[in-house]
Amino acid sequence: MCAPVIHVTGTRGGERTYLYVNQSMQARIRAGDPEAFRRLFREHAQLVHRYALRSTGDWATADDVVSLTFLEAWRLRDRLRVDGDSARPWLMGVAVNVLRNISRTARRHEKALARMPARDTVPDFAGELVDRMADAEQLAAAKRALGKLRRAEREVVTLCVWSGLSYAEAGEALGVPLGTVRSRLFRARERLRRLAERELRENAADAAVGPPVPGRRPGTTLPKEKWNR
Amino acid sequence: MKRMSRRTVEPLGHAEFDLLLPRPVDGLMPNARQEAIEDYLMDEITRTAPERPRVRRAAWVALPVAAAVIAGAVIAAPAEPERDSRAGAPEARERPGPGLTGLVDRISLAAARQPALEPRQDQYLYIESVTSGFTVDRSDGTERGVVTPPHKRQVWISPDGSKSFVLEPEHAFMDKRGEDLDTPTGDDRNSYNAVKKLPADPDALLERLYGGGKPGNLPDDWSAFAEVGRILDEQLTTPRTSAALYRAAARIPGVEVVEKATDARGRTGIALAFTALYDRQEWIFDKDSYAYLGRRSVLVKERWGLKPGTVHFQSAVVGRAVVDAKRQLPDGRML
Repeated sequence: MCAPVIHVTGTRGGERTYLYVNQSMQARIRAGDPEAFRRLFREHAQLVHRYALRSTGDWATADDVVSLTFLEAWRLRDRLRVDGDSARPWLMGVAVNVLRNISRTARRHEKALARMPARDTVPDFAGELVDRMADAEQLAAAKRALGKLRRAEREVVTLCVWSGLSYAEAGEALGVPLGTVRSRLFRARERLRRLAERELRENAADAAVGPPVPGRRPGTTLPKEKWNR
Repeated sequence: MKRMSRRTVEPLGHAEFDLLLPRPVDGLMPNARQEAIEDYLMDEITRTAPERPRVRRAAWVALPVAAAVIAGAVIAAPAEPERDSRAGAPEARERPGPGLTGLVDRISLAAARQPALEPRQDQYLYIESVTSGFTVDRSDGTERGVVTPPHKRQVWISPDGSKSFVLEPEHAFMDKRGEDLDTPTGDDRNSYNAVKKLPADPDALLERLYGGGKPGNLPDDWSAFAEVGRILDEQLTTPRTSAALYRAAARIPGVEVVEKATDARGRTGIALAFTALYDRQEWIFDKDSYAYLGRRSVLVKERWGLKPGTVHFQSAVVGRAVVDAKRQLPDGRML
């Protein structure tokens, strides 16, 4: 199973105590209480950000997705169930939908986005720049890997493996039964494994035929359909 | 920026993925940035501070489309090769034309004359369009706002909105083979069915568009106008509803006529427009038939490093039809 429901990723203190007031927190958000919404943001901003960043591989887009997710959450707050353990799966469901069609959501909040504070594009100090560059490579690699998966699989992988949601939470976020989450994760893993295996075989094939022929991708002679399903 | 050690949120039980996937980055948002976004969001949500959730406003919005077309037919608009190089400029707003009321009358009549597309509940609406939009290019290591070249987009949507398929291979990160966007929860807010139920009376409709907002208040006006735009975009709506939508839109304070606007396919038409802080949204209609051609958003102020006049979003309808299945084309072929 995935992680338990409790971990909270914000860097600000006091999350534990929220557990006691969650019920009323959700009711307060539903009722349109701005302070409850602020708390929702503080508790989950980092989680949503990391999820967005890993899904899109892009810092600027991740920022937009965070804003859009919370703007959407506010807009759709009367769909938040007050009987759940936490608003987290619901919020992540909102994030999933934003990511499914960022441009459309962006159009809905066009005007609000226009008011969004500009990002600092210059890092504070050199260390951060180096971090950023290393991150960019990792992000590109992650995006390539995710790109090999179908969308449904990609979503469960980013939610469960990379964002630490439990199967039940991921199921709630995606609006699918728990068993579906499990089987999508299983399929994702199988697909990644097949691809990894193919890469090994292609490398082996390259070694066997010598240097690559220009204009021809290594491994193109392998029966792809066998692996591509 | 404070960087924390590699986080421990990755749960147990996914160990195999560690071998198969690259190590994910932390993706921590710097504290200052988080605070800036928090302040911004708090401003946004308290900006109009509506009494009741604004859900109602968007609740019915979305799918069906206006004006337009007979099943499968392509809009036969006279293609005008002459493209305006100053695509962004609102040309000659005051030149003699039908004027706002006149234009809206003609558009509404044209819309009302269109044969209705009436899908059965087991069928799909198929819409083909040409679109382009804003994205961030990071290829040279810096972040640069760019607008994608116009490209083809095909969507299949069930009347209740629960099932859809989108094929847009040139999209930055969608699956090249197309993606199923089914919503198993059966959210029908954006559906053909829901839009069909909109009131045909422009006053009642206008009230729905404002969703509790006040005419004359810029954000509310903008949001009402944008709502209509979203219904127009890629949507199928009944002739009656689309006619009512145009009439309602004409009553939104600030709506104006732009005599010449070019759509994503290079067709020039006349537009209904609304200007907000950063951009002007235009709905473009054929000058002669007054059929809906498409819409676009033009920057009026520099934004994301793009110059005023840049068209940062556009979408032009190529054709709409009712088909029996996802991936089926109007001529019956399967993709």
